[in-house]
Amino acid sequence: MTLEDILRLKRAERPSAEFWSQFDRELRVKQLAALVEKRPWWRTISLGRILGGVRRFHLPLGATAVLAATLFSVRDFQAPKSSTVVAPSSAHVLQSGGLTVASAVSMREVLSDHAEPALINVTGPAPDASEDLAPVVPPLVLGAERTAASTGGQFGSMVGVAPHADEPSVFVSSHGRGAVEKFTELQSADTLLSRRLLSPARGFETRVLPARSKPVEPLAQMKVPSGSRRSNLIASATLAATTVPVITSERSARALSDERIYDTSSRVNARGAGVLVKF
Amino acid sequence: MVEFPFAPLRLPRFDPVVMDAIKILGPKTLVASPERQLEADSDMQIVHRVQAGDVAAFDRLILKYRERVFSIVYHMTSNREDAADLTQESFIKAFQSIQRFGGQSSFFTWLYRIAVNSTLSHLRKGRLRSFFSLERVDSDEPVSKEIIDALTDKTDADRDAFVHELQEKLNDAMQKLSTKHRTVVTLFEIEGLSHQEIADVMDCSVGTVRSRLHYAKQLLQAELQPYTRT
Repeated sequence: MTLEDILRLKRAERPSAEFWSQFDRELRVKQLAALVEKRPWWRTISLGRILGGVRRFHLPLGATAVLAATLFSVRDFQAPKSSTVVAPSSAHVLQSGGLTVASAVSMREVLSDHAEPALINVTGPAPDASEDLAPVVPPLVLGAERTAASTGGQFGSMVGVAPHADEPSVFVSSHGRGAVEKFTELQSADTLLSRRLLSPARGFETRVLPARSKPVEPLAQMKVPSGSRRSNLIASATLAATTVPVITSERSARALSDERIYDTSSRVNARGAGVLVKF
Repeated sequence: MVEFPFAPLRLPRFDPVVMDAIKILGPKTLVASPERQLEADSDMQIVHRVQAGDVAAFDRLILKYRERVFSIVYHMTSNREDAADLTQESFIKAFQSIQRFGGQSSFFTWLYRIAVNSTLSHLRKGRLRSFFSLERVDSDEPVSKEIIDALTDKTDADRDAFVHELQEKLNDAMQKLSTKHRTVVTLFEIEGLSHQEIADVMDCSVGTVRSRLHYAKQLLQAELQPYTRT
């Protein structure tokens, strides 16, 4: 008798029929429980379904993605243009669309020899002026104006709008003043363009804006309480030191002769904020 | 058996045991004997019916394989209750995952794989019951009767006691083996699977199967020395 024969004996180990009937009942119950049990959500996820759903909406998803990317890129492209119109004083200048830009472009010919930017505030009734501008300005110029309007950098350098918010947004230089003078001369000249476009009767005006001071931080303007207390103490001490009775000072002045006064004052050499005493 | 009134859930269940069985058995094509091939074809037809919604057809698979699956699990765990639970669990896993069974292997190999993986996972968790239960040996079976007659020359009463003692010794010797060696011995000596089938079920090479089988037999031989006669 070998080991294999003994092991083969285990094949004869068989459960009874009652065991199998109970086994079937339990298996049925477990099958039903497995069918009706609420599965966790992560077990209900089917990768095939997800991929199928994505495949079904492939075209709309792609179109939406392209549209979103386009909107973001357009918004990012327009962002620097809006930042050039930060200055409140120049905002209403730029709001009159084509006319303002047309004036600026026409000014570019005048200002082209100036390296530094200058501020020129040009205002005017936009709708009427634009209507009048149409027959005068050739189409090529209008195209150039639109180009200039789209390129905020050129316009900013011409009008002198600072790109950063912390810098003074509007400033006037000597070249700017010269440009204004030239512009005034141009306006006063007897040319068709200046008469029809840049006359004050049509709403144009040229003026030099005052230079603006740097904005001060609100926190820097606040006074420290200790500083106010210190100033109060110094003020009271100074008052006590300087309040000499008038009678006493007059009496002393009378008692002193002119020579002595001169001698005393020559010894005390007061210059500026300092006092030099000689002995 | 009672007709099963509900349709199976089509949603796949990502059970690690089943996934492992699919992963292992997926790309392989088992080399099977003609009888096994016929059996596999018959099983595949039933599987297709179940996949088409004929849930009652799965009962035929249960009836066909429950004893074999139970036998594997029972000889691996040496406990009847554990074996019953694990066998039921294996059938439920197969039922829930049958939509993903593509027929790359035979159904019984796939079912064996699920059962073996479930049992190994169960044994790894150490949830074994502390006692071992023994099934009654069917002494009417010719093979077992022949073996018992050869082993004993005693009366019927003494013979029953001797068979019970031999069963206990066999169980003890089997439990001294590691789970992998025990599985190899069970599948080869008791279930009668070929080396290739065992290698497919256990996801190892045929050489590994042979090596484990040789080592396990040496240990069992040493344990059962008093009962082996040449």
